[in-house]
Amino acid sequence: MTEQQHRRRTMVLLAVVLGVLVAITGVFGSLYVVARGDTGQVREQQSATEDRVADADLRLATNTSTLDDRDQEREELENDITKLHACADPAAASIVAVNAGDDVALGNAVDLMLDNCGR
Amino acid sequence: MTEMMRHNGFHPVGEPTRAGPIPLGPMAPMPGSMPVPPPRPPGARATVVLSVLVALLFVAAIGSVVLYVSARGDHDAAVSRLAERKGALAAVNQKVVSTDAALRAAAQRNSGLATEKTDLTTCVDAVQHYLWDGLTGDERTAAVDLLFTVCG
Repeated sequence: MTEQQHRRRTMVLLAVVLGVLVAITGVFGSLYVVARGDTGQVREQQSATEDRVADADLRLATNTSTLDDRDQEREELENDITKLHACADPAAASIVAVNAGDDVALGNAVDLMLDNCGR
Repeated sequence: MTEMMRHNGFHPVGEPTRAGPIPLGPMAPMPGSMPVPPPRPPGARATVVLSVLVALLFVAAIGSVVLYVSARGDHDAAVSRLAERKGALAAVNQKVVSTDAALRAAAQRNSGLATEKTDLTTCVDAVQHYLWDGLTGDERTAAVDLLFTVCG
């Protein structure tokens, strides 16, 4: 092989390597740009999701607080109802006793009414 | 000249021949002067340029691969984080739905209790009116009727 042929062969080899490197650079450069774009979109979605999580957390906190208020309101209502029953139940028993002509039961009911229905 | 050649077979010194000047061979460097590099063969310059370009593109290719791998890592991390936040959002939304239902149930329950309290209060008011307002005659009869109506 003459020196000229050797040189030509080297140049062809270098040209091929150069082409491969250009292709690699181009492909991975493009992939890099695409990956960056995708990451940007994912981060936008993540930001929107964070906002929605914050909204949901706020709504959950509001619901929990309102639920506590409802529970407290229920306890107060139940306490009031228990006290009212102490008066209303003998009143209802007195009506039953009157209708049944049961003077003993009526007397007991009226005693309870006097005890429990004070102002 | 031809006569001289006939005598000794050599060209006379200093006289050009028909075939041109006699080649003298590579010139020896003169003492005290710079050595003259031999002329480059054709194509050597292109080989050097190509080699430099290959070196530069090699660095660029490595750089682009590294950048891509790094960007891919960032992307994967962002996707993972997004999935985690979406999971958190789903969990919180489920709790919100659950508390919404509990709130509706509590409101309904308290509404029933409030109605019961109102009914009982009406009865108790009627009893207290009958017992403690010093009623006589028709007022007392009316109070008893009312008590029978609201407490029965």
